[in-house]
Amino acid sequence: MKNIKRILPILLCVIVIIGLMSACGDKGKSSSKKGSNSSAVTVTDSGNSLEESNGKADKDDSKSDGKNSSKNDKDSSKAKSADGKDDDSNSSSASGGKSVKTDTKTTTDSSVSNDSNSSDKSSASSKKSSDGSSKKSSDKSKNSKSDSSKKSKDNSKSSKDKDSSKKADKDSSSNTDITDGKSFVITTYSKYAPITCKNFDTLVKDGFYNGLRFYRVIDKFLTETGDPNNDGSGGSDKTIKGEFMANGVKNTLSHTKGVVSMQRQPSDMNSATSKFFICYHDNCKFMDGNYAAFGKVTEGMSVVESFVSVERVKGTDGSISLPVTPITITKAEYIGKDSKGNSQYRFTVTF
Amino acid sequence: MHGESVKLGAEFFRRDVLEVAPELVGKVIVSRIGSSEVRVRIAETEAYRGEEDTACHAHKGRTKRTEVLYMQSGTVYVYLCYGMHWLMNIVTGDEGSPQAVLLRAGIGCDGPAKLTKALGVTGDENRVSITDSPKIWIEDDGMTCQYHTDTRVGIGYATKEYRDKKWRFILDLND
Repeated sequence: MKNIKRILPILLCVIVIIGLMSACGDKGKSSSKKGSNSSAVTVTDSGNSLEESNGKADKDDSKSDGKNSSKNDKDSSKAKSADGKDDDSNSSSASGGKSVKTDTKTTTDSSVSNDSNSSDKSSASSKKSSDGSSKKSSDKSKNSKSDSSKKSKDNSKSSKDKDSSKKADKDSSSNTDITDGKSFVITTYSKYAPITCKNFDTLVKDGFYNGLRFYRVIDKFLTETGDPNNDGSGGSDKTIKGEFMANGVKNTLSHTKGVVSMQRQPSDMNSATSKFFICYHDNCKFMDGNYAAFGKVTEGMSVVESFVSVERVKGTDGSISLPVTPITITKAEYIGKDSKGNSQYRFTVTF
Repeated sequence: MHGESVKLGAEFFRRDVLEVAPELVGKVIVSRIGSSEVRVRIAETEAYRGEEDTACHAHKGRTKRTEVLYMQSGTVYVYLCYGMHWLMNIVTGDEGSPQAVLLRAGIGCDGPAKLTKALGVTGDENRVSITDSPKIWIEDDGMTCQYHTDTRVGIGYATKEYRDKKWRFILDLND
């Protein structure tokens, strides 16, 4: 009996390690050695082995957990999510396979979920979650006959993948492209953020965004553009009022997948100019009330999502977020209003 | 260039806490405080956002204890909880705006106190710079992880508005 108690924490550790290995994708950089780093606490040098130190830590904490109810609370919620996720990942891998290029035209969900509390965790994760870059890249390589490299999706990223994605786009969808590039449509909702929408409209019509790049691409979080310096340091001349709750403006447009919102300086709420970001995940709702959401990608979200297949290096945000191959807006144009009178803009990109 | 770990610099932490906290999930914190190097992948963080956030220590303004939150981004803020647990935070945003990310858990360390214990972090590390210190830093090794959000833990003292903010970022163990 005592033995079992002693072994239990170690077993738990192993389970967590296995879980993590399956959880974490990899941006497509070589990662065979990462795999070994990825798990649990890694201790090097002096004698004490991994298991020992973990086991000890676990025991210590089980003592303190008793006192700290909040901790228990956290642990149980974690367990729940891990369980619930099993189902989710099944369903999402089924839908995740639809990949980049198939449905650009069909995504005309002009619905903007502003009271999207209902669609939290579970739906969020099942809807998108696991179609990370590695899966996409494997999809792509399936499509292109040239790339027969089945070996591992990790090590054959970079240029090869890029080529195959281009090829796949040409092969399968004539509907995605106008001219040479790919495009997506942003619909803006002035009822949530009128000043921001007006500012965006002016910038697009001035041709401000033409030639600018998406300089920040972070899987499952966001992608960002709108800086003439193409590194996040610049912007347009005019700053606008931050239309979000923390700044006293009611704006109920929630940061869900596809929603477009203004970047700003961390401690200046009224510092937004031209930089905007597009959310990759419903999880971005934590940004509600602190960033001015004003639009949504209503067509071609798969094009925006395909940015994550581009190889990246360290950007000025300190993350590995800067695309090696520039993702350039060749043209941003006003294309009219939707049936509800919301302005729509087409962004054509090449990369 | 790729597959290499990149140490997170001052620019990473200089952004709004709501951008730093979710991005820290999945990064690797490295400690050489003890006799051996310890590496832990961050599994859970919480964002504390300025004086207006009633859950943030800086809510009551600048005091001897909260002074550190007003310091340069990347500054480590360690405090004692329940008289026995060290909790580790990292200051974010512009100098003078008190924001911080609480490191709540790592893989294999499923609690904030377990994490500091594994790393050997104590009050001695308070006010150390995570971007300059030779003993503790954070790396991005290119791994991307899925996370979900939830409300923050142990902030019963805060107003409902801030208790309800889903500013906790939790690594998903199944993708």
